[in-house]
Amino acid sequence: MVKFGIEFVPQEAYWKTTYYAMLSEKSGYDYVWITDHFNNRNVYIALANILNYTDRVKIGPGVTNPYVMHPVGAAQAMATLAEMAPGRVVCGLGTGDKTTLDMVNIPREKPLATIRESVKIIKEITSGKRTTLDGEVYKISGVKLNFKIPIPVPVFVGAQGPKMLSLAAEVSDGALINASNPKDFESAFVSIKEGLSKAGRSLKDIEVVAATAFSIDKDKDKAREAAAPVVAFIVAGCPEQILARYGIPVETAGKIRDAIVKGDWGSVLGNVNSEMMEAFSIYGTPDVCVEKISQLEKMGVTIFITGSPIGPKIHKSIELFSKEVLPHFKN
Amino acid sequence: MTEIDVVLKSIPEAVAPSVSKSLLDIILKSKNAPSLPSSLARQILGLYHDDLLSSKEGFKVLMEASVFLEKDKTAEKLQELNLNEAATNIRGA
Repeated sequence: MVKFGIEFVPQEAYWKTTYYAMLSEKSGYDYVWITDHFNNRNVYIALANILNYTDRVKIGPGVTNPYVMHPVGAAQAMATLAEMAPGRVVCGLGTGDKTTLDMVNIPREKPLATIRESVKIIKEITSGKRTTLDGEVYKISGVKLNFKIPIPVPVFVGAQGPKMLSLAAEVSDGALINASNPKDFESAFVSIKEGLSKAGRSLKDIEVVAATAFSIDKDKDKAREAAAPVVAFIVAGCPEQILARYGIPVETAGKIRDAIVKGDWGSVLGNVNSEMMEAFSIYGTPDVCVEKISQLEKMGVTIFITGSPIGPKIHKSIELFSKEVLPHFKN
Repeated sequence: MTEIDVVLKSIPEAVAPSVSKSLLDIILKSKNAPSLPSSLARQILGLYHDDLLSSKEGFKVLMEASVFLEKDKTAEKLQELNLNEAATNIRGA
């Protein structure tokens, strides 16, 4: 049975993110993920506050990146959260957002080695082991926490490209795939199976997570309107091979990117068409959402995340999702 | 009696649940949300955790937060709900 997660960007007042996380727990979600960008509220502090006000839901950064946060620091933060709520903490790890890394002059070098070694460091340290690594990226010696946590922290890897997907399957507890369309999952599963095979593992050993751009409303047009700006950002930052998969001209993506930089929102939204919406988001009425989630579940997705924007009004959309979508999967 | 108590006194108990929902909408939509005092934020979160946001105490906290963040919008909403006395009390608060 597919499990459900929800993702929040902590760009609003801390108590609002906490309130939405509580609403999500009360509405039946299994996971709450908080994004990590240094220009928003700090992810670990946001997570700690959420733990103080929730009782069941699993929580984690979705995703933190080892370029800004050294994996030893991430392991310490995750272990502290896990002490607060044993068994309810998951670490999402990824290479981060290039735009914000550029702002602080951090090059995204050796992404595969960085993630491979970070997963090892975080998993070992949060398991209470004394950790030594003479890696390609990290060199640490005899690192051990001065406190124990009862349950180790699972580490999920955010992945899109074939190599990172394969690595996620090889070394982590779950692949967090930033995609919404079944076409992307078809190719993702090929890479995931390659990685599993390398490690002598099977699909039962990992979670396959669909981190979607999601928008639900009783009015399809309102749901679309809320999702369009998110889709514009996805198209603007999309690799050419993915654009080609959906027949989206590189020039159109360039126009959207330029318009975003200029803040010309009329032009941004004017260039977002139906093909882009279908390629990069799941939006619409509850019935449509149920159908699309079912499709991904049949393909092997084990956790479905309703990511930004969730809907025109976040709390109303969470309530609608809880009443009209979740019962199709939870009963 | 505080100004908020005066406002609450002019709202019939029977309509409190629907007014609460409107107040929550105003609070969550408010662009002033980051300026909410942490003591009020903690009360909202604590009461919500204990499923008491729809209690009398919860109603009072929501009204305080709504008036703090969006005094005019709160008064307008109460007027819309035909709670004219409460709306006038808020404007005078």
